Parts: sequence; C-alpha cells; structure tokens
Amino acid sequence: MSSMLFVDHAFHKRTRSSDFFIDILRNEFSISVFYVNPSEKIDYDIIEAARNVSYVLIWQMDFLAPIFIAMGKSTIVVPMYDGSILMPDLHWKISSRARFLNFSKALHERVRLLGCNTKLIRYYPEPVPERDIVSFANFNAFFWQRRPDHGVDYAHVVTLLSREVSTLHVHNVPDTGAAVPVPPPEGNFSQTVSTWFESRQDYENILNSCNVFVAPRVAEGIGMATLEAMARGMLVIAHDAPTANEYISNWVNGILFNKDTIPEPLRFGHEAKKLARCAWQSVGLGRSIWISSIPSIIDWIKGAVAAPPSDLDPRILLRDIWFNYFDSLDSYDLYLRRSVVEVSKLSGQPLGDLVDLLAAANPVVRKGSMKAVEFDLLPEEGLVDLLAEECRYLGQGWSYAERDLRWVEGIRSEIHFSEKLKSGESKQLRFEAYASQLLSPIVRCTLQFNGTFLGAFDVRPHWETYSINIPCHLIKERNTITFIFDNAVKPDADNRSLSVAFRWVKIDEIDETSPPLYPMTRANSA
Amino acid sequence: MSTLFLCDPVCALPYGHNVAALANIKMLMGTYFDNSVCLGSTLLRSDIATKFTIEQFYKFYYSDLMDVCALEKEHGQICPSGHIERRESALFDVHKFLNRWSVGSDDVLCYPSIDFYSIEALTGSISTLQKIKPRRLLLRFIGVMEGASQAYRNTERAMLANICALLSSGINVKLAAETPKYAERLSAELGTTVTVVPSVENCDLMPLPEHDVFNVLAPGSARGDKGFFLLESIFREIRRRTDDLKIRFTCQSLPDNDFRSQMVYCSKLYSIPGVTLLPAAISSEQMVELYRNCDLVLMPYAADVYEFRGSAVLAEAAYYGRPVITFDGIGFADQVRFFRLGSVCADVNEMIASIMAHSAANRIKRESNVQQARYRYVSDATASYAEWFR
Repeated sequence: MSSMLFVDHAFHKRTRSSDFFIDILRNEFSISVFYVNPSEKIDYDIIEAARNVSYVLIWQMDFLAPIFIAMGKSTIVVPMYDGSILMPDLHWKISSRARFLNFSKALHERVRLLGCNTKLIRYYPEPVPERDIVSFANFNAFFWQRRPDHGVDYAHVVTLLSREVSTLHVHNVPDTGAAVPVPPPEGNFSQTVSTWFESRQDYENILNSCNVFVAPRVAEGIGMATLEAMARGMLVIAHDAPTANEYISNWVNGILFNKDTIPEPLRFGHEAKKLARCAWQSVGLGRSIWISSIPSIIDWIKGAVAAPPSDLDPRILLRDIWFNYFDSLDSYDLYLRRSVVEVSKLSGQPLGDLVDLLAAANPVVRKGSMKAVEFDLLPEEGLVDLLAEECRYLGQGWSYAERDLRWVEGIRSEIHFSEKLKSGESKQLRFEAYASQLLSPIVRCTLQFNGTFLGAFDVRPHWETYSINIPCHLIKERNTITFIFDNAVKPDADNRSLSVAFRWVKIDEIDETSPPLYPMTRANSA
Repeated sequence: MSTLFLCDPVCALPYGHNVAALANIKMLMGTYFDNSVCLGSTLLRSDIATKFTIEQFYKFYYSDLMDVCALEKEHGQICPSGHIERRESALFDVHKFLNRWSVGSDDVLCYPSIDFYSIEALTGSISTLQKIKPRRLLLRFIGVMEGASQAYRNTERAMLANICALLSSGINVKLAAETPKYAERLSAELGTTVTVVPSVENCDLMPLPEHDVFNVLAPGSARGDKGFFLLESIFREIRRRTDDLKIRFTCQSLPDNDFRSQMVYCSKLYSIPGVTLLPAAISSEQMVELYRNCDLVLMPYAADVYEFRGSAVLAEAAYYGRPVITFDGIGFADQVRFFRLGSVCADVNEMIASIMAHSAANRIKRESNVQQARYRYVSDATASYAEWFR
C-alpha cells in the first residue's frame, strides 16, 4: 500500500467532517493525518511528515500545496469553495503539477479554466429509509445561527419562515465571536433556543423533530449539514450560492433565497412535502452515483505524478507562503505576483504564459500573433534610443516617446534586434529606467533574453542605470529582450496603465568597470 | 478508371459533421467507383486524416469565422486572410487539385458541404472544368458555410450568382440540399431541381435500453442555437411535474469561451436532480454509449437559425434508432414528421408534454416505431443519394 499524508485543518479534528473521505482512502493507502492550526505558529514538522510518503493529499489547506510540489511529492489538492473561490489565479497556477478534486462545480470550473488538472466529484450521504422520512403535518424549522455576520441571521430567517412555520428552533452558537441574542418570537410560531448540546444525540433529537432546515452558511465547501437534512427528507432553504445551489434546484428539491435582498415571507405550504421528497430522492440517486464514482476517484489520486524536486527550500517557501496568506488576500496576491519566477518553476508553466494570465492578455496576444516581428541590426555602439520617435527595435508594450522618457504600458515590453554572430562573445545589457512613483517603493522586474530567464531585480522610483551580462550561448541572430514587471498603475488624467519608464537600452561589449547588477531573487534576498 | 472526389476545404476540426460526412458518403457511394479520394483541410489533424483516409489538401479560408489559431500554430501555417487572398487561395487549390489528380471525364467531384470560396473557385475554374468535363459536379447545400464571407453585404446573392454561372456553363452540375425546405428555396432561387439528400451515418440499429428509467439525451457541444438555454426550464419543469426521478437528462456543456460567461446558468442546470452535464467535447466512443443508453433525443433548436438546416444529430438518432423531439419551423421538422422519426412541437410546453408522453409509452411500441422510422429514413436517403449521383 502506498503511503499518504493527509493534511487537514485542525477544526476537522473536532468536527470529523473529513472522516468520510479518509475512510475511503484508508482502503487504498496507508494514511497519516497532519492537522494544521492556522491560529498557531507554523509547524515545520509538516515537512518532515511529508518526507517519506508517496502522496500528499491536502484537504482545504490548498495554499500549502506548493511546499509539497517543491519537495517532489505526488500532490492532490481538495480545495473548498467557501475558503478558496476568491484566491487569485496564481494561487492555482503554482499548483499546476498537482491533481485537484473539487466538490464544487463552480470551483472545479475555475480551476479547470486555468489549465489545472481537476476532477469534479459530488458527495451525497446515505438517505434515511423511506419510512423514516419526516412528516409534514406542521412545519417545524431548525436554524443554527452560525455566521450572523455574513447575513444569514435570525431576522432574515424569521422573515422568510414566519408565515409558514409552527415552531422554530434556533441553535445560537456562532462559529466565531459572541452569540447575537435571539429576541422573543414575533409571529404565530413558538420558538426554542439552545446554546449547547450535551451530545450529538441531543442535536439529532432536535433535528428529528423538525422538517424544515435553514442552511446556516452563505457558502460551503461540501455542505454536510445541508446534505444530511436533504437525506432526512427535510425541506431545505439555503442562500443561493455554492455548494447549496449546486445540490438544490430552486423549487424543485429545495428553496433558494438571496441573503442580500430584502427578505419576503416564503409560501411553501402546498409544495413543501413534494420539494422535500424530491430532495430525499435526489440524495438517493446521488448516493448511488457517489459510491460508483469512488474507484475513479482512487484512480485519479493514484494517477498524480510526482513533481520534479525543485531547488526551493521548503522551509523558506512554507514560511513565506504562510505569512503572506494569513496576512491578507492582497498580501498573498502581491507575494505570488512578485514570485512569478518561482511560480513558473514550480508549475512548469512558461513565464510568458503566466504574464499573459496576470496581464489578462487579449486573445490576439494569448493565441500568439502571427504578425511578423522585425529584427534590425543594432548600430555599432549597440544603443537603442527609446526617445527616438521612430524607434525600430520596439516590440509590444511600449508607449509613445515623450520629451525625456518612454513608458512601458502594462507589465510587459519587448525589444527586438539582430546580431552578427561572433563566436563565444557574451554581451552586456544596460538600460536606464525609473519606476512609477505611484507604485510601491520598487517595481520588481524580471528579465528574459530569447525566452530564457536572465535575472530579476528591483527598479527604483528614480533614474538609475542597470546592467546584466548576457551569456554568449543565449545570443542568436535574432534576439528578443523581454521586460516583465509585477505591477502597473493608471495615473490620474492618463488613460494608460504605466509601470516603468526608460530612456535607453544598450547591448554592447562587457565593460569590466561597470560590474553587472546582482540579480535580486527571493532565494538570496535578506 | 473512375474516381469519386469528395471535397471539403472546411474539414479541419476533429469534431463536427465534416469528417463524418466525407467518411459516410464515401462508404455509401464509393463502391460505385474504381477509386474514392477524400480531401480536407491542411489543418486537419494528421491522426484523423490517417484514420479516415482524408488528404490534407486545402488551405483554410475561414480563419476569420472559426478559431483555428491553435491549428495554425500546430501545422506552422498562416491561413489566407482577406477576401482577395481567400478567393485566390481557393482558386489555386482547385487548379492544383485538378492537375494533381488529373481529373477527367470519368470522375465525379462531390462537395458534401459546399462552402463559399469553393463556389467562387469553381466559378473561376469554369473554363478548365469545361475542358475536363467531369462526369458530375455535385454540390450539396447544408446551410452552414455557403454564405461564409464577410466581403459582401448580401453574400447569399453572390453565392447564388456563382451557382447560376456554374449551372449555365454546360458542366454537369447537380445540386442537393439537406432538407426539403432548403431544396425548395434553392430551387425557387435558381430555377432548377434540387435533390433532397439528408445526412447519412454508418452505424447499426441499437435496441432501446432495457432499464426502468427514461433517459433524455441532448447531444452535441452546447450552443445557444441548439437550444442549450432552454434545457434548464425544460428539465426543471419536467422534474416539478413528476413525482419521481424516472426521467433523467444528459447534455453537454458549452465550450470554454462561452462557458465563462454562462457559469450561473450551467450551475442551475447542474443542480437539477437527475441531470448529467458532460464536458463540451467527448470522445466518439462516449457518444455512442450515450446513444446506446438513451431513450429519446432532444433537439430544441432555434427555428430561425435552423430554418433551412438539417442536422447530423437527426441522422445519428435515426440510424441508432432513437426518436427525436424538436420544434416546428426548423428545416428538418418535415423529415421528422414524414418519416415518423419522433415529435414536432410548437413550443416548450408542448415539448415538455411530449417528453412525458414518450416516457409513458411502453418500450415495445417505442421500439417498433423507431425501427419502422429508421427503415423508411435509410431507404429514402439511399435512394436520394443514388438519384443525386445518377
């Protein structure tokens, strides 16, 4: 049996909501589980835990996938819609070498359209026997007020249900923060409130007395509580978002509402039983499909290929990812954009493709324009004067020449030139540049020469000359220099999105008196 | 030595009707000739060209209308662009073809899905064709690419004028159309008879599945004009009107470019109990299995787009032995009625009722209906091809 490290959120150690999947895996793999607690400091033991396993499966903690990919592990990622739908494109691209299993169609399609290898799966629990389906003599609702801060709160729910329900039980235990007090009922229904269940059985007993279930959260990863309610033959009412709206078709097997609109009382009296029964039937059908899909899920997992080990230090990678991910989404996004070279290395995706993705290249660029590019011979001194109005060496990305500068429009620009080949001669590339002062203190620049990474460095918001050597083996008859920046900004009163301005670029003999710039990559920055 | 040349410059994509049309007509009519040669686009994937013995011959004249950038890159080609370049390329291709295969008076040139620039090129080659005097020049209109040019405000008039030139050239030209409605229209415009030649397939009748569910299949990569955006309301309403999940639905999703802007709709479709939403592209083996397991084929095509057009899906359903349900007003509705291939409905409500009625009919009756319909369709199609080629 192959060994697998199952990486999970510490919360599930208590709720056991991932157990159903671990139980499936145990039939095929020797499993060890590592729980990650985001509220504690980084546990570097996770790296040791992964050292000797064949597979690493990451449940919900998808941001950790790059660490195991960097270690050369066969990595499977099971992200959750509620936690990961807002993640930036590079968050997925960096894990392109992993295989994904998605419980949410919306997330599956997001990941798939970014070119990642993903399989859509659809979990259903076992439905109760038909004789145990709840009756609908009256309407008795259950609502766990878990995230009132997200909008599915008592007031909203009561407005939806007050016309129809006879009783409402509110389990007032939020996931985070203090409980919001539940006011006395206003309407023709009686109300009970709990703040604690002694045991799971107590919870089940309350639920068994109800036939209407209000899904407590705006978004879910799988939606276990909702599915279990459907499996009992309850009428489920949920906010119209994944995963609830991927299991519920409105007024077919449940009811969807929009928590962002003013609630209107629902009228489901005449249809409730039919909707609930259809929910129970859909769970029955879905369960049989789920069970029959398990072998294909196992095959999918086993088909995950080990990534080639990278030279990135997993400890440093873990540290950097962890701190940026938990700092804020903006920090994480900026970190990934600045690390586009590392993303390219880990993902195996060409840097140019990642740049096109970041810059939302229009289809012409993405498809690859077939227009011919001109390669002119450089003048003898090797100078490309970017202040010349008709500069012959410009490829894409350049704005017009201004009095004393020429901006790069967007985050990518190219210079093309041809060269009379002399054997064994390296060259020096120098240029004078200035980063837009509207961007952060520096603009990170990645340099490519004929598609090969040459160096990465920081452009400062004042005129400065930069230089780097071009190894002779990279130089061809026709050459392209590509500048890629991590950011661009639209100044006031300017329609253009600008990153860095240039005055000149020079390609000439190596000047020993002007040593090349030391490329400041993340690996060797302080 | 007589040779049947089946020509389709638009045959570049691995999916769609073009490859199948070349292969199926070759199968049906090729035995009446000493040789048959199929010619497609130079952009056609080599493995498909080899599998179906299709010469990768023609440049692709429609890169402005069909996304072939990936194919261009793969084959290291740049397609002609602009009207003049396309016309000249097509003309060059026709001359190259006539010379390379030494086309003569025993040979038949057949265009199963004639396209605009082929018509231009044939018209431009009238004098050459008059010298060669091929036995037949067979042009089949399916309502897809014959008007495919952005060079004119009224492309159809240009196309018809060229056809008139061909008809009056003395070359033995015989026209066909995929549907009776289209044949009538062309006949009225051109003042000549037009044979009705539907799509044919090369597959055996499959018995209806023996199961206690009723599978409705809407096959093919999803498109708005194929009624994809009606499916959610149809499936949902059937689900609401029935007390069980006996009626099940399978359809394919949109291609990625369209899917990106329709995720909410696709999600709604996905959430309906008993709906299976497959990817936009599936293998031909998977498609066969879908037909094998289905009881009914749903074709809620847009009547305006398909006013004159036929459908290869109709032929597949007929040959496999599956009834179809479609809308009145589309080009092949007449054939569905005449051959009793299924039901023609006025609107979505009728379509829903028709699906439910089909699901309630007993299997033996359904099976005998489709067998008889298939027999009539196939024998009529075979006779039509014979007439067209005669």
